[in-house]
Amino acid sequence: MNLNSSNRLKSSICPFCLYGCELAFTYDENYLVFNVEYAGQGEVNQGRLCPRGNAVGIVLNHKRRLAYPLYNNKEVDWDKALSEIAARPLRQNSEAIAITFDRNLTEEETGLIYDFAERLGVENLACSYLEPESYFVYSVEDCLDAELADIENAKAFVLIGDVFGQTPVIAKPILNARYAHRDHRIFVIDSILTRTAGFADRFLHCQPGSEPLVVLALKSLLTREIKGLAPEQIAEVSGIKLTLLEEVANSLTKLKPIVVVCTMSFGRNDNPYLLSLASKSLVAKSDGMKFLGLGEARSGLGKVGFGQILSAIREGKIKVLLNFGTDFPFLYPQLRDLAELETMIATAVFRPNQLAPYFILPTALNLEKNGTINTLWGKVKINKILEPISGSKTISEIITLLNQKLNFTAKIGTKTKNHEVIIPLKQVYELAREFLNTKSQTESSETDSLLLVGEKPAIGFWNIFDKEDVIKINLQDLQRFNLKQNEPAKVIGPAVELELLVKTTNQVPPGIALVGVNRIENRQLFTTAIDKATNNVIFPPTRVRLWQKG
Amino acid sequence: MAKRIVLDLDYCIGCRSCESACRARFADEARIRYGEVAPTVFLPLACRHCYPDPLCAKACPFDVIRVDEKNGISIQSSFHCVGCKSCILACPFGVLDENLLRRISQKCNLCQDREEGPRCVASCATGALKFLTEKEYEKKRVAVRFISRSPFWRRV
Repeated sequence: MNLNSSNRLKSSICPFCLYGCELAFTYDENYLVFNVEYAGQGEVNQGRLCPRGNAVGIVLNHKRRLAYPLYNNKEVDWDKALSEIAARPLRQNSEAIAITFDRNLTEEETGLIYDFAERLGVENLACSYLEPESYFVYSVEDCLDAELADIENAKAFVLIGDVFGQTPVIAKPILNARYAHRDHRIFVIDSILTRTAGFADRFLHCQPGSEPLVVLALKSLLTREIKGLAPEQIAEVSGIKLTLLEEVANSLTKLKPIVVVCTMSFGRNDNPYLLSLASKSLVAKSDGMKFLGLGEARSGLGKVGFGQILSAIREGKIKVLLNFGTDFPFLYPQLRDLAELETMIATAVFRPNQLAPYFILPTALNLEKNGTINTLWGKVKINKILEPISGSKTISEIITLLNQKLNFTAKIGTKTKNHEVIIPLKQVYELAREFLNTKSQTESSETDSLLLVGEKPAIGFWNIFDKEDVIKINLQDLQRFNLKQNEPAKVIGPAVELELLVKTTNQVPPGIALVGVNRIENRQLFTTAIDKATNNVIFPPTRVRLWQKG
Repeated sequence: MAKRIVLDLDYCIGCRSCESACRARFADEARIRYGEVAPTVFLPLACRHCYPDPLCAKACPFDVIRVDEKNGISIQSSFHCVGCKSCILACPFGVLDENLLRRISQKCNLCQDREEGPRCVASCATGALKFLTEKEYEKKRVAVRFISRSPFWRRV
């Protein structure tokens, strides 16, 4: 058996983020051993991969992959599970049903979900991919998207957030462009000193949550037309010196073309809606500037915001929730209101950590189905390179079976709502002014707690490589709270208490703690908030206290 | 002398893609290690394959690590390793992991099972790891740009 024989070399598009790297691997005749091969000649990644892409062999045959439908924590067969679901009063009571979808869906599958909702007469159709990068759907007028060639030719980059940590493969073209001439520049705006910030010529180290204001301060210095967003005031709120902002704005006027790359992380940004709009308005109506929004996935919009569904569940109006995708509700353990549902039906790739009285239906990964997926560089057709793992079904198969059980006939062809929502620039500035006023009024004078922010490096992906059971704090805080390094401490959040190892770092200033949010347990520390503008659920930084024995 | 893994510090972003490639191949035990000099400075540590007299091979009491005279690569036979950790103590570069998960030490063999070269190099997200012969290395002058001249410059 020769693993490197090219007849078993299969290539596809990496399903784990939006960058769309070409991915190739070989496998043996029993589909048991997967070896990732770096044979891609594609212009996107030339065979290079990030930790997520390298994990493809592990993910496809992971020991926690779900192979049976689960109901009330017991394994049931498909027919019984689907009959049980169909026996619920789905058709009679469409107002009490919500249908949601998250990631790992092809365009065709999203269409089928819309159709299914239409047939049931369900109006509560929402996107349940609640990571902040889904806010990149909101855009402003005249914002141009960057292509790969734009990155290669750019003279300056404005990187917002941990860009290299989110999508490591993009670092190569960015650094190549940076090193092409000594005058080229990289500017990084972030609240944490990340490895991306290590490459910055100028690092704008702001307070957590003030990133959109810093971006708009640059815009204001560049155009000098925006009223009510005084750079002086923003400098004070964000903790960045005004001279530094002016220096960066000055460099940006001289260096064109510029690419603005933005990424967001769970638990890092308290207003992702404004950050998406602000970073896009920096690009809007300015020559030689282009925008790129990175993330793991981008789902459609749905008909309502997820916050609306959550409040309806709280009020007891919604009794049944059907989710199609891989992550929801397992990625968001803080959504405790879901326990009030009478029936919860979710599709999953992995056996969930905590068992719950749900219907959990095993589903296939993107590499195991045909369809069209969205990447940063446009739509790509993917072909099934493997059969779905035994016992699991693709979303389209599940919906077709549900349609049969409910005696629905052929497809309607409902249009999915996947387009960008354009917000006028004036409205963005208005929102920013409000945000600035609230920011300048709130004083963080709490001394016995730390502000917890999340980081999401690619290596922590689905907890496969890095276990991330640490909390990182500044050395000053270690002494202030009398804590010991490398020893477990109780992290007391608003809703839960967790035991995490304490490590010191100078990535964060005093008063801020850093935790990896790839680990689901750590996510519980963050509470939910509802974004008023979009009616969606967000996870802003939260306050925690640390306590150690002895 | 055969090719060796070379690191271009200007490009290493510390994504640990090299480590994950190694772990994916060798059953969750990475043979490439890393050192975190500062939050912003990160060094993957690959085996140097010292030639002609690697200290790990000299320290091994059972001759488990041997130098392949054809290409100058030191290869460990994991079947015969007893896990005494002598090689780990002997390595002057600290590239052998002291945590023995399977009670034997793990040593890089430059992916001898892969014709195209080591997986960490192929996987490197930015191309910071390179697989070069001694001549190529001298010609290419890896890591001559300003950042690598002083890694601590990268402390913003």
